[in-house]
Amino acid sequence: MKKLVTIVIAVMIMAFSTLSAFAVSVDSPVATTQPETQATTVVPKPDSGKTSPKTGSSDVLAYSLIAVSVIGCGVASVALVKSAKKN
Amino acid sequence: MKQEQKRKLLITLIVVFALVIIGAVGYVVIKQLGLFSSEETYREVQQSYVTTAAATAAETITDPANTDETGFPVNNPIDFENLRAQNPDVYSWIDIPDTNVHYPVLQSTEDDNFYLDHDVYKNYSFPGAIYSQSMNKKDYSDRVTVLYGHNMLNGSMFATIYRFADAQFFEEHPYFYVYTADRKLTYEVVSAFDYDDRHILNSFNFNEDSVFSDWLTAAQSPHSLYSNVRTDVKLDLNSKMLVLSTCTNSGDGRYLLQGVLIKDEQTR
Repeated sequence: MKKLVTIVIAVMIMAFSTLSAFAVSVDSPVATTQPETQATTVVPKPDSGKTSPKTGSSDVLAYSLIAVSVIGCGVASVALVKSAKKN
Repeated sequence: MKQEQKRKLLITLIVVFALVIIGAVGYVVIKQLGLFSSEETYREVQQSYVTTAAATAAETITDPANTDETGFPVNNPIDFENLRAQNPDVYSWIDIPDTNVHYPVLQSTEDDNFYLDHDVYKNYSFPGAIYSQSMNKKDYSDRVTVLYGHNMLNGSMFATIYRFADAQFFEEHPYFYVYTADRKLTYEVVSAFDYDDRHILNSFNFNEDSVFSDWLTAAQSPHSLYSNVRTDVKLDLNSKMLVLSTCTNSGDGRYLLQGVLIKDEQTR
């Protein structure tokens, strides 16, 4: 059971790290910002990928996390109530 | 003892799930606030840098063949001077009548996809901006220029180019416009269709006549079930195509709206 909890926490952390609002590499309100350095050299970053830039607006991951967590929370709550009744 | 252990673990699980719910809801809320803020930003840009009279003029000019050919330069509705003072990456403005597409077009010198998630003021933003990549020249002289924009659920950015999927809308809206600092470019809509997720400019060498010729042929006979095409538009090796690319509503594909340059006017 402890392993399960650890796995759940690890999966959640990994899932959150893929959401752009929580990623540290972007300039979001909750992201860490890199300290500005003087005399920065601009290195052009061309797009050499074979796939066109992804211009969708999908929130599937966030909503999936909410759905899975609500279900998980419900199941755990029911199990907790049942075990309390047994006692 | 076992029962007590189970109870503790269940409580831990509930707490973890509750934290995840709070985090995910927080993400959605932050994103929505970002969308509102972005909408406000572009509304402000449209109000501050576009003259109203000229903006409506762009909507009313529907047939370039009927415009007055006196040789006088046409009005440029965009205040590029002040817009570029805000961000020098702004180099043109796109205007598609009866859609929400009235946006500045940008190109970053540092990162080709910088404006995928940064707005016109270079602030982080989910909807980003309308942009091209460094493989395209900023004067629209390439055989194929590609502009990218998000397909936003709130109808902003390139979401409303999907209106061209409707045959009647496609038929009634044959033109769209691009302004640069000193030119007005009129494009005739050639086709609108679903495409795969290939990076067009990295996948085709349009300098080769045969490749470009094949692209033009495909533009008027796309392999797509949901395509609208204007077959009477003449395309040849001198054509300058403008491709507007956005994500499809489902799956990994892209929705493309293609136009060909039919008029290039000096502006004052």
